[in-house]
Amino acid sequence: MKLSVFNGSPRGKNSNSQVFIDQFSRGFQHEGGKVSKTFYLVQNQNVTDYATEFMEAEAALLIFPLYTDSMPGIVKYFIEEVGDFDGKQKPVVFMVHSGFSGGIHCVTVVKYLEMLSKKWNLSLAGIIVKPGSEGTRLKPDSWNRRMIKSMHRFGSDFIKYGKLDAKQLKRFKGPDQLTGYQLLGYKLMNWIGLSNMYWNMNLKKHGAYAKRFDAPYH
Amino acid sequence: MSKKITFINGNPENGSLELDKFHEDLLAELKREPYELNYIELVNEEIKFCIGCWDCWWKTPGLCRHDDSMNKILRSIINSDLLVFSSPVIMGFYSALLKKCHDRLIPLVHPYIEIVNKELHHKKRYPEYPLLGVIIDPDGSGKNEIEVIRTVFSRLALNFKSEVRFFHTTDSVTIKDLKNEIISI
Repeated sequence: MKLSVFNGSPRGKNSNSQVFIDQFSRGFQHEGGKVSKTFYLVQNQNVTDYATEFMEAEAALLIFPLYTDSMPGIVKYFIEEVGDFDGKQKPVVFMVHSGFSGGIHCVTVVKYLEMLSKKWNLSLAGIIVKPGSEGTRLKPDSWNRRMIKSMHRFGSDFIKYGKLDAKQLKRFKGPDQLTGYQLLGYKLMNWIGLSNMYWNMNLKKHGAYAKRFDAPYH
Repeated sequence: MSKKITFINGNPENGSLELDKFHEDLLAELKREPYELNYIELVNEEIKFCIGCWDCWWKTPGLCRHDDSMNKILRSIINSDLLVFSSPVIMGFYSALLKKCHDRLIPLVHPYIEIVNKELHHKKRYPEYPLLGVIIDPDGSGKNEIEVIRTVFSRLALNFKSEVRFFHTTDSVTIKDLKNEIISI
């Protein structure tokens, strides 16, 4: 099976989406599949060509980060360019990942993708959801072991069975809302001033910490 | 002081003619009212896609690195009492043109995180945000697709610590009723 990959991250190659793609591809290739090419939807000047590639692909993976509770604009642009077409039960995997923990943020776009797969007459193998994905690309592999193992399995299951395991998908996504422990953890981090450490570190790095509460349009 | 409305028309080029007519009729009614109305046709604006750089959060807080029409649009939005979005449904969702604009709203919120209803959300950057109104031309789409769109805008309202005051499809509301709804806000 030949897989065409569509990276819908506005960050292109230097994205968390790319990390997930690489690991999924490894699992896919391990079982004898071929990854033909990755198309970067951020290069939206090529959207017509990319839409054609999607329509002609033998199998496809479309992955994107959650942007304001749904797909990034470049992905919607791509979807509109593909338009109405009969996918003839083309096997497809969708993946959406969000910076925030908690699967709730992706629930709505997952519903959309399910409807889209019916509209396009696709054989939907599964929708992978990964909350808490921000910073994935910055972490060493040793910190991403569980994610790597899961993405490998998704890739290999896709070529072996044409379907991703529902329990595995559910486990990978985790609960929709923060658990009691997570809530406690965030409240504690807030209390000791660590919850916004990442933002403060970067604000200081860019010399913008003093301006962090700027409201320039007022 | 007269109320301010920012009306963002997300109908793309060669989009819905019905929605164009709906806008025309609605604007004719609204222009008779004592509102400051800023009507923005996204198709006539220069707006780049968000690239996820987060300059608006950690380099130039509140300001996007792109110098395009979103500067004036964001200024208009945050100084409005009501923000109305309109779009046709295209491929089961609102237009890519409107989505592009929606993505570029993030400078209006702060990167700092808080817990709301057991979910993580970003804090406000501004003390107040406009109420939201949404007008959708369903163009034959089903109620599940409309429901998905409604939910996305209710999530925007959650992030704006605001509310969606109205959500209508063009086939479910008259111009007169919509005008009365807007002026009662």
